[in-house]
Amino acid sequence: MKGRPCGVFDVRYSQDRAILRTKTHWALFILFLIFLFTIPIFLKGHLLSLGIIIGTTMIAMFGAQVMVGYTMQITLGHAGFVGFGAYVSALLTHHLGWNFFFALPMAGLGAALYGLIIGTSTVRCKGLYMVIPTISAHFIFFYLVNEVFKKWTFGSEGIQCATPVLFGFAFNTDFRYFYLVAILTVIMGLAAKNLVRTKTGRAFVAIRDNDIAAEVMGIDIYRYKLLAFAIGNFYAGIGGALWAHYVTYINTEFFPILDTVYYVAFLIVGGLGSIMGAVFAAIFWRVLGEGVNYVAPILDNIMAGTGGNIVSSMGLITFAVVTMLFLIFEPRGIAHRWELFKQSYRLHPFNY
Amino acid sequence: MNTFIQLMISGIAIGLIYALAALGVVIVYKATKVLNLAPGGLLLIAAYLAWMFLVQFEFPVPLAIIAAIAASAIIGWIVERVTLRPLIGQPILASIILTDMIWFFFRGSTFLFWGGNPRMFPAWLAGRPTVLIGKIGVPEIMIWCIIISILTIIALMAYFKFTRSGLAMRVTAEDVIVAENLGIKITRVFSNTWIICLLLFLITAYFVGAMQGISQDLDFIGVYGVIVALLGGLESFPGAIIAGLVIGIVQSMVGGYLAGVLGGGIAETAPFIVMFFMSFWRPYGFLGLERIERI
Repeated sequence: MKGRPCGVFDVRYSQDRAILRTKTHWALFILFLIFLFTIPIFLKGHLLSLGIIIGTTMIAMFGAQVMVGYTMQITLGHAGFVGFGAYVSALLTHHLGWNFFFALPMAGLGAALYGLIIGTSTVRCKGLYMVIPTISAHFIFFYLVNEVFKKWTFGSEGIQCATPVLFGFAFNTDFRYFYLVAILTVIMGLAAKNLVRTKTGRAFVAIRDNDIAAEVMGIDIYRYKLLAFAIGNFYAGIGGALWAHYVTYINTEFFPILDTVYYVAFLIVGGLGSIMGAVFAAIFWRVLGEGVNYVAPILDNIMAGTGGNIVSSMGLITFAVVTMLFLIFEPRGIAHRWELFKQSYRLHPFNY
Repeated sequence: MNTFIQLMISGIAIGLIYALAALGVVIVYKATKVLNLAPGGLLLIAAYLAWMFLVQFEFPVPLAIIAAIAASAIIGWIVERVTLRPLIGQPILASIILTDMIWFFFRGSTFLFWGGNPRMFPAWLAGRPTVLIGKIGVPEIMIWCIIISILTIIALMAYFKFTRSGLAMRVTAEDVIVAENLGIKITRVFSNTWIICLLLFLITAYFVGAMQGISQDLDFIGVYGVIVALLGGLESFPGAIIAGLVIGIVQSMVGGYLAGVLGGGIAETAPFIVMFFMSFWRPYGFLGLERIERI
């Protein structure tokens, strides 16, 4: 049994199963919630918007974690799926005048449906070769938006996304939107955490570890792979829709192929196979990006006249080098370090 | 009919370019079992190096080409030595993402050193005239591209067939442990594969740069290279060439005949649609090794 605090013994099954097992857990969780819901009062402007973007990325990252970390269906099309959700929601609110809160679940379901169509290829395709259908999904999404449905999506001109309104209450400031994103992120995070402890989640892990063994044990691997695609892309769609209605204007430029790689790369940096990993991944990615955005213009001023373009190169180089260092020196990600920290904290006076 | 032949020739030229890029992926995969998603970045850096020696430093042409070859080989060696060697034995996902990050790193480097403006090769390379074969106008560079690609592929085959290091590479591709027992230095084989890979990208880069100019958009050719390698089967050289030709011709034909009906983006998307359906029919590629798995 890993990760049990000292001197805490389970006497009932319900204790054994609980996510929050001890009083300290509960206290920390409540403190965290209080922290989360008071922090926007102190954060100003830019940091608040960073928080919102972290939240939306985190939701999409949960989806990537379910697909890659738990089921090992390598996906190089996640930005495409995120974009698909964003566009579903944008089209529903823009053309049909739907309320955002009805369009949001539809965005998730739309992306899930798209994921299911792409996921049908798992019937024969697996391992490395899953790169083909997923990367195709990304480019087919581009084509659908820019050419096929150009009449409705306005192609590369982009589409406006309405500000969410609930019972006459408009989420039109960063401050209000932060609460919307925070609540949804916590709910989706807990749902993901719970999902991976159920029968479905165990089936996912079995498929990840060895899909032939899983099949022999009677797990319908095709069904569960499709389910992983559907769930992962549901999350992606929700994250995308939330993001789209925050920035209020989207086109396909916002979902580049680079992002699909970053979703998987930062998942590894965060830690594969745990929901905490996805949380760390989203935070690390966006904070690093923000840091780069902050530093790059300064460096550009210092090194002006060298003919290079530091602003567009800094992000790529920094992200690449950081990810490489993580892969080489800590392939199990930040989540692993976090586990080690928790372990040593729990056993504090002793070594083991 | 003339249009058809014209599209066919440009399809074959583009297809051979894809095939060369894909061969770089296949060579690396066969020897090191790493799926190389980096061709985008490696192609970019090779193209910019070629441009740098030719235009920026104004070397004489033979010297510029030799310098570009040397620089690319050094980059290939460094990439293998610094990033991929520590990852031997790690899960496949790690190496995939690592090669992706090599792509981003070189893409970023080209921005850093050369900025985002498109560059052109000098006129003797980029400005070649269109020649008439019968009544059909064909850009001369495409004919050169077809000839040189075929020669490169033949040279590569000869290298694997007749040289000692080529033989070592073939043994390593077959079984790493056997190769080690036979006294082959695995690490040197790995370095060699990356150097050859970079040289293939350099050849690709000369032609793509001559046809489309050099900019950061070139890494798209690299993405197609990976896809072509996967489509042909990761273990197969003929597969990569066939798949490259198929994708090139499909792209050129669709772009020529269907762009009016289905919109301009169809030329870029058609290969992906083909590929998506191909993953149902032949998930291991045209000539890839169909693995028989056990628990």
